[in-house]
Amino acid sequence: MTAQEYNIAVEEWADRLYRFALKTVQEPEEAKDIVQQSYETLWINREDVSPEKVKSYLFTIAHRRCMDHFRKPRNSELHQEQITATVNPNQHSEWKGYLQEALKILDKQSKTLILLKDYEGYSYEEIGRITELSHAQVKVYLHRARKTLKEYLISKKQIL
Amino acid sequence: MKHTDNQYIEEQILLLVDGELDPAQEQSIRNIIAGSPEYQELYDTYLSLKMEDEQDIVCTFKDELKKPETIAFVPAPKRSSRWPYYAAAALAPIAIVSALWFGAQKEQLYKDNSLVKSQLPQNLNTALPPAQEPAGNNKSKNNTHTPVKRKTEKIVRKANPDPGTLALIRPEETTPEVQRTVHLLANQTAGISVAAVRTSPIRPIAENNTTATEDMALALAKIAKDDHAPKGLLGDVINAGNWLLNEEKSTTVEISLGNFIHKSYTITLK
Repeated sequence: MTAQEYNIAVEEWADRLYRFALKTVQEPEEAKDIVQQSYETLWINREDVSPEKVKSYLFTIAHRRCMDHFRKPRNSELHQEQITATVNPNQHSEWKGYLQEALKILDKQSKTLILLKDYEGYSYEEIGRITELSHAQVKVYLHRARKTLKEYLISKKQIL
Repeated sequence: MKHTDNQYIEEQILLLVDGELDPAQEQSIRNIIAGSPEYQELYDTYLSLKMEDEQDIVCTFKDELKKPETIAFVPAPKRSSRWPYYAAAALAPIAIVSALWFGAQKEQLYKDNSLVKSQLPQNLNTALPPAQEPAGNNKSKNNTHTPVKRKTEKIVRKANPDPGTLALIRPEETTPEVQRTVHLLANQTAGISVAAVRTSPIRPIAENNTTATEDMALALAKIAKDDHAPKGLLGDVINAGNWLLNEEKSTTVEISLGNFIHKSYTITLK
């Protein structure tokens, strides 16, 4: 991969990668770090990455960095503050707001699977490669996550 | 599993929402959904749960990520080190020079050994130790010696090639068949071709082809008592040469020590 191809990859995938990271870690600065680290890793290993596999490579790195982020000891108050700041239902339609809120109740892995599937349109197989899960695991975790979202939103509707 | 099973239908609906069904499967589940308001509602619910990409969230730091394209592409350094190749390249000339040097030394040794052997008369050649395996345990009682290569004890004299050649071999280099024998070959004295035979060092006394001998060991023992006589290994050579030639005669002797340490010294027999 040349420097030109690398810059094309930045132009093409940086927005999506940043959205994925932001939705996953819920912290803009942390999401920025994850995107920068992902592209830096791509730059270092550019000789081994073909242009057609850049997107998958970037999301794989970003996913790992997100998981590393969750493993780090963190200030729970700050984390909560960041979530509150990020989740502002007023910025979206009411349903989308609830949906974004519902996303927070999912565990990290389920949320990552939902984001990769809905935001990026990856197949189960591709998600399996990125997250290092089997096809069956992706299917089970993803279906379970959707059922959880459905039950949460149904109960929310009933309350409202 | 029957298609009427609720769990199976729900799973198929989820796969349909995720776009994971092939066309046949997709048509099959769509038919089921179309025939059931309950499944239609379930399908609509799952469809509404799909996250929509939020285009308003953008990466504002793309320029920080980009790299200047004017810089020539430089491949990332490979992890495998190349130092073994450099080391091999550096050692190759040393190995070649060493091989040539050792080869030359070996060739010189063979020359020396062949010289010694070539000086021996035919009738004595078989009794003498092989030139390349000169050593023998002459103290062995059972007469079974193991050849030991004595690198530093080979003494070869080659001066006045013809006539006047003298070859001296230390007693340790003899075989059991010629125990304690110092082989002194000389043809400097007219008509004498063999100066040493079995069992003991001898010196020709008569002028021509005689078998009359004098024991060199005794003669050298006498000479050694003289404080002015040369001592040590070279001294033995000088004394033996004097004894053999029966006169003090100036002669040039070249000595080769060892197989690989080939050094030449010029001494004078007096």
